[in-house]
Amino acid sequence: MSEAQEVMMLDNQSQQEPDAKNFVASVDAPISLKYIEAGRIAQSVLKLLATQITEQRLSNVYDICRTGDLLIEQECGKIFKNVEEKGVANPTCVDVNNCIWGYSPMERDNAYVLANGDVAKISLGVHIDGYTSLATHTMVVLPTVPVLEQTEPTTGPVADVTCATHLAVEAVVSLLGTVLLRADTPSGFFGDREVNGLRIKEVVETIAKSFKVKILPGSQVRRVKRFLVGQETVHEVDVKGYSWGALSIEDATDDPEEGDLKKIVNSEAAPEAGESWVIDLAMCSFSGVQADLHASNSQQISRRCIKPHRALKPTIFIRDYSKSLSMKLKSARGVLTEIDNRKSVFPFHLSALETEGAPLGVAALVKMGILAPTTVLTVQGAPGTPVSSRTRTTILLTPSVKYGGEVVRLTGGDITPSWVHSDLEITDAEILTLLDTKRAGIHLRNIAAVELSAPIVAAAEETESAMEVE
Amino acid sequence: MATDISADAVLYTCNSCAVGFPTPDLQRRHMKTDWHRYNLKRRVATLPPISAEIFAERVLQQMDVTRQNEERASYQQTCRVCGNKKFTSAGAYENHLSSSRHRENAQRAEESGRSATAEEGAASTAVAEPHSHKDSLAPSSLTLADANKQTAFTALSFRDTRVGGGKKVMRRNHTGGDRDIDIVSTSGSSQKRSVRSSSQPEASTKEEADFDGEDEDEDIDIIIARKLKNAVKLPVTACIFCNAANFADVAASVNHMRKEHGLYIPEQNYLVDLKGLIQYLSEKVSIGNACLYCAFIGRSMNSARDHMIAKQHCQIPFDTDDDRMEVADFYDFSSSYPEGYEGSDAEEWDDVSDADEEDSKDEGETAIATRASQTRTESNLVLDSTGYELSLPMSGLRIGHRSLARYYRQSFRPTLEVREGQGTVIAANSRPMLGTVAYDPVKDRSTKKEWREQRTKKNQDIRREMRYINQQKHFRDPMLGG
Repeated sequence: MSEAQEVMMLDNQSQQEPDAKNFVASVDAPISLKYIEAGRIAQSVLKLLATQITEQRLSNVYDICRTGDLLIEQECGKIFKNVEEKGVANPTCVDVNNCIWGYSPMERDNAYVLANGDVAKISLGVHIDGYTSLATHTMVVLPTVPVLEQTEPTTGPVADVTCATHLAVEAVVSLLGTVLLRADTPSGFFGDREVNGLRIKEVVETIAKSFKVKILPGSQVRRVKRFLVGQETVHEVDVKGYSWGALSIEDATDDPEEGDLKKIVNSEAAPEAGESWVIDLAMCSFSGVQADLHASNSQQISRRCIKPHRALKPTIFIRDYSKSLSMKLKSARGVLTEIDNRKSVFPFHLSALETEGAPLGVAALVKMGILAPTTVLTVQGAPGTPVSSRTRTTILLTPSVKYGGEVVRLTGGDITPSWVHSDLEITDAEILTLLDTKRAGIHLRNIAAVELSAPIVAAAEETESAMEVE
Repeated sequence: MATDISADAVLYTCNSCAVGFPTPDLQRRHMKTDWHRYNLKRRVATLPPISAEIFAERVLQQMDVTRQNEERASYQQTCRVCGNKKFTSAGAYENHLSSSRHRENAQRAEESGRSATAEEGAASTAVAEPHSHKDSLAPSSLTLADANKQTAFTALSFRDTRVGGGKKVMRRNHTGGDRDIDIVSTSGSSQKRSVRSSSQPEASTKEEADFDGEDEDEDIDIIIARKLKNAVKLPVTACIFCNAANFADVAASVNHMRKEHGLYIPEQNYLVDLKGLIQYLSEKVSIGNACLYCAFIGRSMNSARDHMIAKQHCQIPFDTDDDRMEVADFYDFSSSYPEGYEGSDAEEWDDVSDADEEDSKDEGETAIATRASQTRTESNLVLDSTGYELSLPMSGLRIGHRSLARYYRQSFRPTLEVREGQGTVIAANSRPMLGTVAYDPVKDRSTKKEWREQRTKKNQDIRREMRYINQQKHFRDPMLGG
């Protein structure tokens, strides 16, 4: 039996040969090394930022974002010297409370400063040669003085939504991992039911229901490929996974047939060994108003509740490679050249551009549709502002001859969630099996974070301000 | 009635010939005679009519002339020494016998020991020799030199002495320059005209009309000989453009020409042979009767001078390569050459110029290219296989030929280097590329029609509004209110 399995797996490899750049053959394969290094950097930077926020060393969102980006660039410069394309795959964003996506300020002075009890979602991403690790971590900002030690957990809707998101991601990781299990594995969990996008949807929505929270559009569990991690401007076809709708506000409609990711996401296809997946789940507390809900899915918030922030201008942009026009404005041409030559296909922060007059040029490019802005989005319910939470992790489903396969959790494995306590709990037996210590029998390897040197931006800022005082 | 008869007698007359006829039949017959026709022509020329007897005498005279011409046309003589050259007139043949070419050939034929006299000419083999070959390639100045050794005025003679002195000079690759060529070509065309007329022997009354088409060199020799005979010999110390003469030296005459006629001598720093240059120019005017500046050829030196003064052509052309090559013999630009050229010696330049003479191509650039290829071993100049690009040894710069300048001046848009990520994204994107939308003429037409309709409607609306612009019955001053 094991021999047959082995042969099957080899066959599988040979079949995958045309798409060799997207097939993770083993944990030691060159591709996995790039993935793992990217994951390690993302994880380390994320952990460092989280620790600094907890220790009150970083509170200004501008500092957090710039520190994150700088550290990523710095760490990427140290490894894979012969790889040209590497670096930030997702500029560091910190979205607080009802803000759900895209806040990475340009100026320090007007930037948001984290306060007691805020729910901060730190998002970042690292790619090496296109092999991308995306990460988002939700943390509850602790009360400041007098003590750093938390004496009691956070409770209430914040706890519910944080718990739900965290547990849903963990459950989906285990669920995807079961694909790698052999038929003779003792757990036998879900052996009789195929794991696919719809099954993932079921698990996530069950957990959301248990914690009485709703899933936000933009949430998705999908297979990612080299350079293709669900950028807004790239419309892939036949993507494995499930999506709760795209976040772009242009097509702010709940109709799944209209401008939705659903029509190109293949929810029927099963995950396979050798693939890499991103689990990106965002949930928000629900005030109980029916109008806030999606027309056809009662576990999902309507797109109507997602609104762009009134005051904040977009600072993160992504090149739309389906458009190429010659620009009249000199700075626009300069920016376009810089993006084409030095930036990759991933989003970039406006401050990362070195061209003179970059904001002007970017504005012209956005007007022509060559750059797509990432609007700062907020969720707004009818009676009050809901709290949202988001967790994102990247995993590799690596096949292994020894024990069927191993789930390599590139990001999100080695970070402690905030201490929250929810009164609600999950009752579904299947999901409980996925979440228990055995993780339904899957082999999980978390990529551990490493100690990074002290952040640069904050130090620089501090010395500057000190000098000003003098 | 008598008056009637007499009137009847003078009724039929010919006014052109001043004769009367008794019958209309005779008059009609008269109208067809050559005599009448001749008188008609005379009448047109307002000459008095001639009588029938005088006409008959003239006809007889004319017939004599025709017969003589025919005899002359049947004349044929061959010179065997000079490659069986044929002569159809006694004058041309005599001219040939006295020419230096013939004398040389005859002498050589004697020297070679073959039993040969100029007339019997068993030495037909003494024909093929480099001299005539050279002549055919560089006709103008070489023949000038041959024909006029005693005057020794050509550029060639100057050049020879300079080469002999071991100096390195910039060479012109086709000896003579285009002014000389002009002389040759115009004389050549007149000679062609004469060839055409000589095919109709009765019409060839001109002296020079009897050249043989096969022997251009001889013809040119003759023309040059005649021109030399008629030429006014201008000394170097005389002005080229006016009658002022007897200056103290060349510098004084140049000074006069500069002040009075505006003659400017270009690149004076590199001029090595002022006297030679002035002599060349004055011979061009006095012997060639040519304008210095344009292609004008006058009938005499004075006409050329008048032309130059009237047209303000008292200047040395120096704009094009050909112009410069014409006077290049009198210049020495070697001090302006880059370092790499120092190593090449005069010998090598000799070779090159010989090769050039053999080439006798008109393009100066070819000569330059050849020179470059000759010197590349010493200065590491590398000429590429096309001959249009030269790499410099020190800087590594590449020099392109100026004829390709329009291609070098093109600035292309740098092609977008699609990197792996961009390629992947573009390939994966299911959206159509914006730039690839095809032009739809039907849609375009409908759009334009729509715009037109909108415009028409707007105009109609404006016109309709205009009608109601002033409907008030009485004038109300808005200042007063109400």
